[in-house]
Amino acid sequence: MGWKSYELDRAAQKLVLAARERDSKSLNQSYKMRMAVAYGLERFWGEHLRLAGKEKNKSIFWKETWDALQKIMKNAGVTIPNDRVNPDNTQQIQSMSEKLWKLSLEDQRVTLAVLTQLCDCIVWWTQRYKGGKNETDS
Amino acid sequence: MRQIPDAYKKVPMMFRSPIPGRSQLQYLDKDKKKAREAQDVEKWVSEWTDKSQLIPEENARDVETETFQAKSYQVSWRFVTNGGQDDGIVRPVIGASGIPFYPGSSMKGAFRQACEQAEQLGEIPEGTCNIYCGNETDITPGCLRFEGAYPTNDWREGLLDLVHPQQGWQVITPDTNKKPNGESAYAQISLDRPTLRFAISSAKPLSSQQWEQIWQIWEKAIASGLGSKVSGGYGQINQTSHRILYKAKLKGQGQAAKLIDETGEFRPNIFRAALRGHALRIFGGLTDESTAQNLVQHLFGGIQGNEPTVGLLGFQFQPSQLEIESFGSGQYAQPTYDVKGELIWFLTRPIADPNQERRLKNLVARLMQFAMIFGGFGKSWRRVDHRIFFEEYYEDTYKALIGCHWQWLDKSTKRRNVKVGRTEKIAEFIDRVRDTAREWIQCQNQPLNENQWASDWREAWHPRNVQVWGRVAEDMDDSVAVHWFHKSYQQRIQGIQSEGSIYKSSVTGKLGQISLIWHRMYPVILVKKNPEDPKQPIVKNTCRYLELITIFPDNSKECDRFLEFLHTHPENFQLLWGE
Repeated sequence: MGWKSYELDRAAQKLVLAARERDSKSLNQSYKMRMAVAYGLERFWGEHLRLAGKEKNKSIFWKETWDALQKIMKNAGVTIPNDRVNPDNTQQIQSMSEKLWKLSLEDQRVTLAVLTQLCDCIVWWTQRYKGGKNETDS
Repeated sequence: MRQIPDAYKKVPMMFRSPIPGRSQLQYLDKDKKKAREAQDVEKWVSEWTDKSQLIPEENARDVETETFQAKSYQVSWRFVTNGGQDDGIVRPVIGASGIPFYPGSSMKGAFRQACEQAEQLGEIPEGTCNIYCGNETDITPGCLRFEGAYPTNDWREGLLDLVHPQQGWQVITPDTNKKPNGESAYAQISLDRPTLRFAISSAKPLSSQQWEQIWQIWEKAIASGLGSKVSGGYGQINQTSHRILYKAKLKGQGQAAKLIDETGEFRPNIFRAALRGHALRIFGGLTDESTAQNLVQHLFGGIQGNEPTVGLLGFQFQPSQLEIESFGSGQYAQPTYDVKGELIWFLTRPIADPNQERRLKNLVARLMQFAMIFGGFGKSWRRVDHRIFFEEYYEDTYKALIGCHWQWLDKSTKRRNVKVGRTEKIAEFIDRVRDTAREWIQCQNQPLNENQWASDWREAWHPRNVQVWGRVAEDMDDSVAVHWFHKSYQQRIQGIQSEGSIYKSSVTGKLGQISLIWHRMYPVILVKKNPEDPKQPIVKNTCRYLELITIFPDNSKECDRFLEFLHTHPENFQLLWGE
């Protein structure tokens, strides 16, 4: 069995750069993401919906991170649900929650481990890129 | 591994998405309340407390050694800290075994601040702060380790704390059927009267004198209030290190606030809400809307333009007696409070100019007196307590509890605060309140804009917007106006007069709509010159009351007719202030 790079670090760098380009202030979400991992997949996934109405750029950062996670896990042979969900539609929310908690425990654990690593990388890049843009803002 | 059927329905609230239908902690769902279902935050709290533990007794005791000491302090009401872990809900940091704790880093911050202040004042030798907390410039560590605090009593009761911001509703909005945005109740988690045990350890053995000094500094730190929302009365220990501006002993009875689980609670922040509202009313009659709002924000703090500010004024209420009971039956049953205690208003930070401080002192005293003369505190503060002044009303027990009644308590409080004993004094008092407010506005270098007063506000205090009527009532059974709120004030006599009534009109308001009238029975207390000691006037209670009606006319037919009726001087009612 050969070594396979999933390029988490590169994915993280892309996410951070994209977030910075949209709104450098949304970069603070990186630390929150890292913290939210401890609460599991559903809580992490739901955060973008909570922010959808009021803080769009933050919401996009969370969603893009989830999309990236889904892609990486797909490469590894694990399918993570990623339905299109309207934040006002409780039924869609619940059905997504149901799918997430239906994942086998093993898949959940592996996914969380990958998400932890991805978020660590995101925080690492955030620390490097944070002050770069619109520094005068703060 | 076996799959759990319907796993997503069994997931604790903490691990769900913070969105509708899953786990919305801050938001209170009206439909759930109607259906008597638990709110998300209630489930969250019970899931938390079910699995959490208490500090074992052997770790709850105070300790004194050369390298480690722990001391306990009791918070007089609620204690709120925001762990910052969850967006959308304010909740404490939850530590091992589910026990909430006050982090050592916060403790160190508060200690350092108090220590630096004591150094500046010369109370402790220079350099002490660096020895204890470390030198920030050349990065040497301090000898102390701040280990934070745990509640050692049973902290699991009364964690849910409802907050109702409602200034706009109470003072500004003319149409009170519609609540302004952002004024609905929300939930936060705070600890109810916790005993907090703070621990400090030292890298090297310290003498008992040093430990004494350390705890003295710490007591200074916590006397400023602990955690967040301290100017709202949270996190107060039974002492204050702040400069006291005003002090009075009060007693009151009325309707207690309800927690989510419907139990009653006396919430001292009713004093702050009342003063804040009155300040806004008075300023609104003297200057333009935005200046008035800025002045209030500066005094009481708040969030305007998303910039949270801490106000100049903080307060503390120390109850000496407090009973929570219930009144009424069936769906009318309401929790009530009966309370005595001392209210203190203090400065949250020093004001450099002694002139300003003196003016602020006057302003706070006037606002307190204003609150006491014209209304009360807490729920239903616009009405007299019907249990005292309209006892017959409750012959049928299926009636809602209405009103509250507040009084000055001891002699020295009365000497300083009883400003009116006769109806004729009311106008003078109101003018003095407005003068004091004018002085404050001017010394803040804000514009006095009396031509542009907040005329759009429902309750701006301007002679064109409000009228005060009054009479003397012989005793508690002699309240006249209380009857006008429940039946017609004028009977119909065929061919001579039609019926006059404000009952259930916009004037008296109804459920969900705020009334235009305040009605108060203010106890008449005489403060007379004392020939033997001019510094100690004689205080004499009487059984009389000033019956006061404050009305903000809305040009409705009912209101105009009611004012016409008042002009006929029923039972000696006189127009005391307003055009």
